[in-house]
Amino acid sequence: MSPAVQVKDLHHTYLPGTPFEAVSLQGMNMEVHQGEIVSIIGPTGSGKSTLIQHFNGLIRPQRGKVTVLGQDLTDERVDIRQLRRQVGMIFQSPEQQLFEQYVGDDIAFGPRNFGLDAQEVRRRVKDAMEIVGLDFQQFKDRLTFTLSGGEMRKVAIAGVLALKPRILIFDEPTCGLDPATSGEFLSKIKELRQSQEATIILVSHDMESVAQLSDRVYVIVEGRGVLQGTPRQIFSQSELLRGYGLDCPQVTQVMHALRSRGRRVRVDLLSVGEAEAEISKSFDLARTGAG
Amino acid sequence: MIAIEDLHHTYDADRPHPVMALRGIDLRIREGEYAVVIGRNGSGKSTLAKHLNALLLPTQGDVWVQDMNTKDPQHLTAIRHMVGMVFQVPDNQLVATVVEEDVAFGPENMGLPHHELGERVDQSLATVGMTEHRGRPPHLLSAGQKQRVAIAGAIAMRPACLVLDEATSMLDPRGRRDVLDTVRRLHAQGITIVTITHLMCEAVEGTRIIVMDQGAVAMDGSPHEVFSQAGKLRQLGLDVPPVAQLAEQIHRRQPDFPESLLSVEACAEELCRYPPSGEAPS
Repeated sequence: MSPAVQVKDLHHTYLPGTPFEAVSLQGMNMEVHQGEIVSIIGPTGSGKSTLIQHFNGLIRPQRGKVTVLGQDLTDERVDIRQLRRQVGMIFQSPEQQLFEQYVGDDIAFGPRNFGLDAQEVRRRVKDAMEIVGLDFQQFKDRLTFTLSGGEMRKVAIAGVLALKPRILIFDEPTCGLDPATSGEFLSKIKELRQSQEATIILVSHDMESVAQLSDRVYVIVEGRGVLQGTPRQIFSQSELLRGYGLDCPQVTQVMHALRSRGRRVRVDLLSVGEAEAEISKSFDLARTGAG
Repeated sequence: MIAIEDLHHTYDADRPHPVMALRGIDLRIREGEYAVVIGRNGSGKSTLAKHLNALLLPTQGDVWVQDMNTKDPQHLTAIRHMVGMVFQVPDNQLVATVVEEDVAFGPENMGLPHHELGERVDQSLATVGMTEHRGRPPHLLSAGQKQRVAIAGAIAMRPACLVLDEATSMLDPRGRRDVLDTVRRLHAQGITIVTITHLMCEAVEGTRIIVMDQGAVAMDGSPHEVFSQAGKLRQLGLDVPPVAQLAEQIHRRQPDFPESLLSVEACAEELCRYPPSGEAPS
């Protein structure tokens, strides 16, 4: 099976040849396999947004190669309209992108635009609302501006899902959400991979959700991939990450702090449960050295 | 410092769909406090924050800043000088084309003499650690740096209180650390701090946690008091930081271990009081 996304030696410079020239990507390589959840992390300005905008043709490769679902995007003849149907992009604060008066119309906008018949549009809207957890009868005729922030975000995501994309890209999916809503969203994203057989790409500054969700992580700094691996491999390298302006999930930080105090513990642990198990194993908690 | 009495705020009160964002809040923010307001989306946090410097006025009840009622238009300038505000999106808050001019914008409008203006800009930039970038255009800075410039602009007004509404939520981890360090330093210098955040591991920085729910105060106490009630917090759409969950689970296994620990360092320190397993007692 060919990879969902393949990036080879990709370069991008904004406003080339002007005094405002800014190099964004300089030799980025990456590969996302079908059905994977891959996160991209990196400091502000490292080129993450520039990179993902290549995946649905918002930016064309200047140098290097981007292949998405078998289509070479350096080829001028690629059908970008078709590509955008297959690659759904959910930007930061998607609630600000709603523009129709009624929830149902907002979600139906994409499918209608692609010329699907009324019955199919209705079915897609209904399915998409079910996936994000909005009751069709209760919400389809609600005015979009009366929704809460979390509900608006669900509507925006449903609008993208209604096109049945094969790749879904989320830019900071949990930014600005309270812990309960953000937890709910992360499990929704995980479900999408199962129910839609979708490939998922995340860009996030939230190391907790990156650790929880991803199969693999790419660390990008100054327009290049500097590390890639499973969340365990990535977050075991706390010093390196901090040097790049990044961090580890909080329980992983505890393990690193124990290691730096000379304790022999594993540091490739990501959840509270794993950390607790390792601590019970390596510390004699029954004996109060506390004394 | 700030007294909030029976504060109500209803948006669109005269429309068919009024939204009751605040429903009767009584709070006193004391001088020198570092108060963190948390609560689920739509609980009224930002509406509350905007009352602290008269960006919004109560639809019922009163807000007093050092005994000045925010409803009294003649106090407006004094209140805005006293309570500075920093918001979520850094780009929306910067107005000038060069960092130091941006920081000077507020005090310049106060009509300060030139030498004092320069002094305030120097000090404010030094406090947020941005002196070396003073001549740069703000759009070439990282988001964290922009946010520190926004803070410098606010403190150049010498406010007694600084309100930060999700000021770190769009930043990368380093940007977040830098802003938190800056806020900690300002607090140490005696500035009263009120922050709003969705990140529980940031909330523990405060000296006091105020939990909002449906436009009212649901919990109010020290970080240890509030974060030891995990069940209640979860009912309110919140959570405890992962390190606190870890401490709680270790405590369940070993009751000697402190039940509530809020920082990575504190947790590691406490754990290191126990010997490694399998070693003979000394």
